[in-house]
Amino acid sequence: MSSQDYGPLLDAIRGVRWPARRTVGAALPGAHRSHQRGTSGEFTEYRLYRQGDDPRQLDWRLLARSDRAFVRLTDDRAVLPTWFVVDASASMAFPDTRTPNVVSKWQMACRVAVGLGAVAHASGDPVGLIVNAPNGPLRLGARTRRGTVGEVARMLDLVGIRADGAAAATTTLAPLLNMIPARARVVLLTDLLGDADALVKLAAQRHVAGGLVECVHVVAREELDLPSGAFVARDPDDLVLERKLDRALHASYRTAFDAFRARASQQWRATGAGYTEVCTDAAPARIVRQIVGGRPSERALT
Amino acid sequence: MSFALPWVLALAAIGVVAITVLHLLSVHRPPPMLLPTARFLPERDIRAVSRSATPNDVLLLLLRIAAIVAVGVALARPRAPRGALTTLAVVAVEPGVRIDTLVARQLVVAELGARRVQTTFVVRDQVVRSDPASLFPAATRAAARVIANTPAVDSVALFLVQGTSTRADSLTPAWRAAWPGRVAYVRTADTLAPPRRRLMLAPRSSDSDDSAVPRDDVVYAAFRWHIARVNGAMPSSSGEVLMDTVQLMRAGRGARATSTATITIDWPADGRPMTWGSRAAPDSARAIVAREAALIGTWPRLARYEAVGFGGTEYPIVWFGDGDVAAVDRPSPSGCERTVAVVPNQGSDLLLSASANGVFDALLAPCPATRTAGLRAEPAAPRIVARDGETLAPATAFRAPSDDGVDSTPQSFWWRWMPSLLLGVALLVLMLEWRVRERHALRAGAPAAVAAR
Repeated sequence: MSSQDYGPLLDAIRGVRWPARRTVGAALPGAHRSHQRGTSGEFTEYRLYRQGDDPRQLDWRLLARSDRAFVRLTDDRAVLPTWFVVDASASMAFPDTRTPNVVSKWQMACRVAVGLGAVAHASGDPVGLIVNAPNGPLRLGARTRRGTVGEVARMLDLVGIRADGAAAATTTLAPLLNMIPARARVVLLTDLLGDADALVKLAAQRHVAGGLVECVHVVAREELDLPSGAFVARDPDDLVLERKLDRALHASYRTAFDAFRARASQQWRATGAGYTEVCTDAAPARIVRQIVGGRPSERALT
Repeated sequence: MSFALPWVLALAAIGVVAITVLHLLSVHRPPPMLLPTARFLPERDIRAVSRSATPNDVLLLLLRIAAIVAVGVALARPRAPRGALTTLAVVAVEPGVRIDTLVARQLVVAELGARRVQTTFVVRDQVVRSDPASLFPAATRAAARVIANTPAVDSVALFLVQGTSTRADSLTPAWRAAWPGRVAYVRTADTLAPPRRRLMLAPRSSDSDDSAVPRDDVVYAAFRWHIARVNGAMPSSSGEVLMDTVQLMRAGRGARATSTATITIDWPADGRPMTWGSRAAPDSARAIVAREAALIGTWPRLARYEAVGFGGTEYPIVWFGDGDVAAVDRPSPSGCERTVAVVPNQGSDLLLSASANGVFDALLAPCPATRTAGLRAEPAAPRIVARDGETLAPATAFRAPSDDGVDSTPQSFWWRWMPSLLLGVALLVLMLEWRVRERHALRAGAPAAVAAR
């Protein structure tokens, strides 16, 4: 395992299941309802026997009672490859973790990614990882073998990002989505301060194509509650951008930032994707449960 | 040291206070901090202002204060110390009145009390007109002359010494109103009657060029006529009779005999006195005026009087109708010499008319400062019989205002140039301040700080 202790987190989410919000495409047998109807699993309905049906699926008792031949149908289950795309741009390194008891957005994203990955892996879903590391995108193929979650954690731990932009990773995540199969479940863990509009567009396309997208919007508590005093605020993704920060500007900043977050939520949900805003001072286990719980309405069959 | 515009110093003091307060407010660039959501902050000037207990950039502050003080003092127009303020007492003595200068000074000091007093006398030899009202302009001229050279004078007191028989004429109220302060009227207990004088016209000298002038010259005739008139007007009584010899010289430019007469009349026949300049274009005047009488006629003018300096030894006594000088009086070793630039028509008897009495009275008037051996003590002490006015006249009323309306008391060379020197010093200090400011900015390594200053 990595230097971060994921033990408590994994213990807290043991037994949590993460069903897909809609039926998935036919694939290897797995935990998620599939488009395909099969003969295993839970009974759903009877259908008149047709020429060519497997006689072993006939309900003999019903035949004896009604003198009519019916076949028992059940829902099939399939696996859903789950890919985690974690944003490793300089803005994710905020705030500085050298301060005690401070969790950066990157750290929170890693914890949520490992937690969700463990949940997905426990359901038998292949789990993959893509990170836009400073030296180029890092990709860990989706796999179900034992130890996959550890590999994910170790890969995340290897990525070192610096908030000062010295080892700047690209802020664009949209090209990384093209490395993921269309019908997979994609979990984006990002602060949406890069190419948010392109991501929304791609999410809508993937949703139409049958894929599932979950957006985990990571927000630092220090971005919500600005420090007092006068500073020159610099964007780590764009060090040229400098703005004055003092108490008199807090209100206007908060108004603009809240509007941005509200707009992001509206856009993502409008595409059919899942959207969850995560603050760095929240408990990762609770966040994982919140994400896997989803919205009841989104569990409806397509 | 005083200042012509002291309110400018107040403005400079306000500027010093303001610049000091600004230096207590440090305008600095706040420390940087990384904030990924900085884009949501509104665009504002990055500089922050904070208060500090001690002024920042003490060297710059001192340079700026020095520049402000230098400019303020320069614009306030510093003036040399005037010393103890003094009152100028002008003692104007009417013609025919005599007063001891020592007695007059005692009278002045007693009247003005504990003030520092400087006394100047205006005696009859400086008075052109022989009436009381003419003392006022003479006193004004004397006061202006003294004040121009004495910056310490701040007020003027006028003492008119008059005889018991003095009567004000129609011009006296107007002249009195022109004096901007109190007037003290001093009467002498007794006024000696002016000495009687008799005029005698000296015969024409054959050695002079007057032989070129016809013997029935109208000017000669006029003088004979008017001398007889003046002599006839003199009251007959016993006592001293002064004899004034009148020598008439009609020769033009060139050598002429030295006159030993009391009154020498230099009246060249060609109308061009030797010491006068020529007119570019000869013209004529319609009248000649003297002693409030005008003699109307056509008087050709061929010469122009070029004053050496009024208020000196020459005084005009006759004028043309347009104000040009027609005759002047100046002292001579034997008395006085009167130069006339009037060209009469030889066939005219205007000079013999009553209208010419004023002109010839002026030409035949007793010479100034003759027959008066200084000012002799009066047998009885003079006294102030009346005071007209509340306050003394301010000295500023006698100083010519400068173009900017500021007191134009004469200053020494250094005091005159001090404002310019101070402005130059201020310029040098500002240049030094600019250099220091640039050096500080370079040391800070922030070019934006130069713009921020």
